[in-house]
Amino acid sequence: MIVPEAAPLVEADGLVKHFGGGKGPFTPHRPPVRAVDGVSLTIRRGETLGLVGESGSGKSTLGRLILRLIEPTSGSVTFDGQDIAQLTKRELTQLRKRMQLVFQDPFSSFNPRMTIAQVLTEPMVVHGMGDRESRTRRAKELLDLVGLPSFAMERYPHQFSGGQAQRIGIARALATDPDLIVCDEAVSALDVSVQAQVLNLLKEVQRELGLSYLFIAHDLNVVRYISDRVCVMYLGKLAEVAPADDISERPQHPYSQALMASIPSPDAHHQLRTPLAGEIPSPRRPPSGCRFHPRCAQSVDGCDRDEPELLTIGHDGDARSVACHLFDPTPAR
Amino acid sequence: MRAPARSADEPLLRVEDLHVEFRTGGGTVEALNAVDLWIDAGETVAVVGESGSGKSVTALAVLGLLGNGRVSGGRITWDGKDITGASNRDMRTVRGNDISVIFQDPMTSLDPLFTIGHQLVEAYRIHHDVSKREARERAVELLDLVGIPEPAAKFKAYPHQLSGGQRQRVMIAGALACDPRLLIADEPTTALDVTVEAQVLALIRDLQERTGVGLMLITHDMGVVAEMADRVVVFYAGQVVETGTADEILDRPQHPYTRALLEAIPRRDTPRDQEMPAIPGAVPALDEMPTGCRFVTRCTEAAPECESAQTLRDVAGRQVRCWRPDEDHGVLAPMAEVAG
Amino acid sequence: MLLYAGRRLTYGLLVLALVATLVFLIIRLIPGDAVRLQMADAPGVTQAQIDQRTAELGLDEPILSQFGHFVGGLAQGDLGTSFDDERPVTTKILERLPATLELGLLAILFGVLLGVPFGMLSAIRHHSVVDNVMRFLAVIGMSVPNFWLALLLITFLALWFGWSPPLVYASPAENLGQNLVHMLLPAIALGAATMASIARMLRSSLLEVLGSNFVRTIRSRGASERVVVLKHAGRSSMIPVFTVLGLQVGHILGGTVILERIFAIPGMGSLIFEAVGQRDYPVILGCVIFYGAIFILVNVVVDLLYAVIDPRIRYKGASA
Repeated sequence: MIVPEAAPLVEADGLVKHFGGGKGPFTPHRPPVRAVDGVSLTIRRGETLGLVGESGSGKSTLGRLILRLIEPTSGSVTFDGQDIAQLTKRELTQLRKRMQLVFQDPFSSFNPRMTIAQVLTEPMVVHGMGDRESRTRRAKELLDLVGLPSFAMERYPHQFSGGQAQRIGIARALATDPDLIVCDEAVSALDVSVQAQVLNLLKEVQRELGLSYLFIAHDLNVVRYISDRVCVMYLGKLAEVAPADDISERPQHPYSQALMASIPSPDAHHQLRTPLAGEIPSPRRPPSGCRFHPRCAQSVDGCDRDEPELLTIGHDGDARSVACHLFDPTPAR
Repeated sequence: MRAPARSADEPLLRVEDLHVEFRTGGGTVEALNAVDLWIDAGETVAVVGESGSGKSVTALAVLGLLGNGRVSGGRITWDGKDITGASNRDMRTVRGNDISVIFQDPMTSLDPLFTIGHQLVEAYRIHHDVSKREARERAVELLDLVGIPEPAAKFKAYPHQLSGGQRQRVMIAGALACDPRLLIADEPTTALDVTVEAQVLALIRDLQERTGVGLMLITHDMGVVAEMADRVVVFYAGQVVETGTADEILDRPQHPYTRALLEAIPRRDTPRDQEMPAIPGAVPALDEMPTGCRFVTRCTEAAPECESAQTLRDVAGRQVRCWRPDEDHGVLAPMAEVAG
Repeated sequence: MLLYAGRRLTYGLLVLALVATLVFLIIRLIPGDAVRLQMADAPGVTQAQIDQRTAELGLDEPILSQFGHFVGGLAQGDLGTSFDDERPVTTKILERLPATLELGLLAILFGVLLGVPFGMLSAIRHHSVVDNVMRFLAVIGMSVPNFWLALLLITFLALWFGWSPPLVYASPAENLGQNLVHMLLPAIALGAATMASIARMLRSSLLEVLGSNFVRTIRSRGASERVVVLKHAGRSSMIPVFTVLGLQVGHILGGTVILERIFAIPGMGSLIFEAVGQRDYPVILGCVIFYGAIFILVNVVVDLLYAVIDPRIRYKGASA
């Protein structure tokens, strides 16, 4: 599925996003919130890149930076060879067609007074695609693609269940025939039985249309299932990037290991998980050195001083990157 | 036709044939239909189901906190006493004192305008006629018990100054203030990160061992069930569809819904190149319930007899609400007996 | 907390300065001129006399330099002298201020003392007959203009009971009883809208809080409804009520202008009414500044009350 030779669809380089910080005569000085603090990643054509981390890790902010829904403090994003920070307004509008977002709560992203036909054709109208007739035809095709009957066209969002609404959310994202969809906790609010339906749908759509996903979620098993590669994020930085099966079978970063050990499993009866100590610190004051060191069971002398770099071994589909002083980048095998 | 009681003694809490209705703009809808369950002292019963299945409504009905809903049939017995439709005044002596509850969202479940210490003191003094100073000592002790560092200092903290995990710890402290005999935990960790979830569940387990409090754990997460539960009650669309020990339910589920639910969970070794075994369709709306088995619209094993209603009946020592429970796993009770 | 108060107060002063400037300009745009209004009736007024009077009042100077004088005086706490009787504006206003403050306070008292219980009752018994009647009354209270309500009250009391309010004003020091009887009707007319707004706002905010998660927690611990409603829900739902109250002070101050006129109360409202009629610029401006200062001060107090009630606001400014 992945074509290693082709240029990646998205390349983010040194992305930083700080929010707030002290200013103004009456506001006491406060350090900024370092939501994303130096993240580089690539999303290949046709691949699903998973992004996991606890709340406060900056994963949603990273997704919005990649879509340029918010401006980075520094760093750049290249989409299909174009630096999106350099684009004119018109070019950016053109680009927006090619990247879409699916939200956690589909209902809050729909105008409740619009019929589903209007919800689905609106992005096409915005981007001046086709005429009324062809847009309606396409909306019907989209509904069919996401497994909803065409009589849904005349209904309103509140007449659908959560799972159906998320199908509509996906259909709307597909309306402009994008190359990239950022799924921000797109299945997190759904019941298990429906979540499985939507995961299947996302995979099926990808197989048919060959698009890429950035799949942001906190449930590691869900991310592992749908992704080709997984990024583990902690306090604004990437801790580990690895192929999906590697991250679940052989997590290298102590944080990835702790996350994997924290997943409740229906198969392990009466066994309490070993909880990771403490909670994620405030991104306003990240710990010195390795940001994970205060919670890390394996931390050694120096972890609180020196910030580990994200080191990569292997190539292409097998590449694995880890930001940990304990990680040995020389190939063992 | 009712199943015989499992425990020799009267259980701590018994819910029999419970029906609950809610008033809505267009009339009334039935949120619970013939719910049966019981909880013995000190045991952990997981109540599992998807959203809208009636798990939380059951808890609120037990506490008499249904709001614009009402118990329209059946019986709730607490410690041998019938508390169905008890007055608010009578229920107030039960709430917090005998039965406590912690809710899903710790971020909004504490009063933002009072310190956590104040709220703990209040919780204790509702049922104990003690001085403020004594209650204060109890509150600090409780904060310490639930693992809040520097409890005396944190006593003066406001909820917004605590993290989600710490707030849920404070909720637990408040619920345990008066040494209840039953703790209802309604999705206590759903709003928390997995790492914090593990901490909070470990805390609940630890407190349970120390105090012997019974636990009714409402959750949608089979992983949490596996970790915590002695027995499991599976809800679907306002009914109990299956009950049994945790091992029975997780390893040998008999109701097609329980089976499908377990299969639909992504696991760490779910093959990535295969489709997830999803349950087709969605839970029917309350006003569009099938008259027979409520799962019939989504069941892969539906047969003609499924069009008529089935009660919760004994199958191989467990209770299942199904005409055709999984024959591979359990011994099917003779049909004649069931019909009679 | 101090920082927060300082910030609120500074914003308030900026707003006041802006208001004073705008009013200074606007009153000079109103057609009609102070000097002609003063002298036009007198027979045989010559243009020279008019010019002389204009120069005396400083109205011949360019508008910017007039503004300069005004600001210069203001900086020293001097609001100038009245065009009408040459007495200092500050003295004139301070004479009239007590009556207006009394009327305003009585109106607020009436609004709060009735609005709060009505709102609470409405929320606790929502969708009951009581609630529906109160909501209907609240809509009426908010839509009926206060002067019309005042006239209605006078008319009906006169028709039904043959009673009409006293015509001569007595200060509370002279005759407290007569004073209160005099103030009763205007205070009711003025406070009706406040009562209605408070009742409505309290009803909706209390309903929202009563359905919130933390109230469910408190109920689940066995607390009585008295504790739930009065202590917890009541406190949370007061914030929007204070906001409404702060805004209502503006309506009440505005209302005093016409109601003091109707009921012959010698307050600031009737003073500004007279001053506008005579284009007595310094008095108009002085009154507006006083009205503005009261309104802004009240709203600064309201902002501070938010912080007293809600620790999240209190700590937002302080935590660094």
